[in-house]
Amino acid sequence: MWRIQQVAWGLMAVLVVAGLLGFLGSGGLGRRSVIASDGTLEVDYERFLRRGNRTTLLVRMRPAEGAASPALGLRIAQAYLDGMRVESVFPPPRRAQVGPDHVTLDFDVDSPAATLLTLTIQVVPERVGAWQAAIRAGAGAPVGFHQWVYP
Amino acid sequence: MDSVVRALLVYVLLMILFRVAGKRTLAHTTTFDLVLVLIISEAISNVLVGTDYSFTNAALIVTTLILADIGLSLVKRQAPRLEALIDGMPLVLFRDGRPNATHMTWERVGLDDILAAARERQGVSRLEDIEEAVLERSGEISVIPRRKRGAADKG
Repeated sequence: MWRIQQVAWGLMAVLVVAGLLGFLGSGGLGRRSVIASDGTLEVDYERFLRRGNRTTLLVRMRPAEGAASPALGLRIAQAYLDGMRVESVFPPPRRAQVGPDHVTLDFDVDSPAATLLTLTIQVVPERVGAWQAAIRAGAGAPVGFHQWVYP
Repeated sequence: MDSVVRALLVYVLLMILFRVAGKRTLAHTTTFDLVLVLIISEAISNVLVGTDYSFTNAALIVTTLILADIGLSLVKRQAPRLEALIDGMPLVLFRDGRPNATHMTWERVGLDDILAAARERQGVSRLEDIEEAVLERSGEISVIPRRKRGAADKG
């Protein structure tokens, strides 16, 4: 019995250390960053989330070179939105378009020469499990990442 | 990450506050003490949980608190002086018919408190029937009645 107790203490210590390092969500070492292969998009995200607990996606976009219109579209795959409720996008998009398997958010850009645009998207995970996100900026290469949602 | 840190901060804060307040402060001696404990837990729960109502957060906070308690008890076994600092020592309040005025004043215990403990635990109502009264680390007063000890000595 005492042996079991000691093993349990060890497991508790492992849990607390994991929590301290951020492997159970909410900050720590859980923040990651992915960059699209063509460099048009970079997303900062948390790998581990807790259900109902808001998280921020930091999106940096670079318009493709020689882009004619000073507008920019951010395309988010629908599969990701099935598990996540988007609470806010800042700055708010000029318009949103719904496609069969994605949602496109269009933003006005101050000047076509702008090289780096930063968006903040606040998302609340609503379902437990692993979620695969696929995001692309305009016609650029897509960025994919995984997020795990704890109960 | 912050759940663990917050739980540890709260643990240390409460430990210091309750130690400074003294053993008797929240020893459930009155109804109001109980109410105070409830209000404190309500206020602290906001700090601990915040807006994160997930199962993971609750599990992590509870595990952290329990682990801190286990860890501290293990450390206290190795360091008796630390134990005395954190838990205090049992204090004799009353012995051989004489109250220890210094201990009673500092711990804010009156003769009525000793008598109340004697009535509750030993069924003894008179001061003369009390051999010894000790304020334990838990904040409870333990009473050793005179008659019982005498009977045990004879037998």
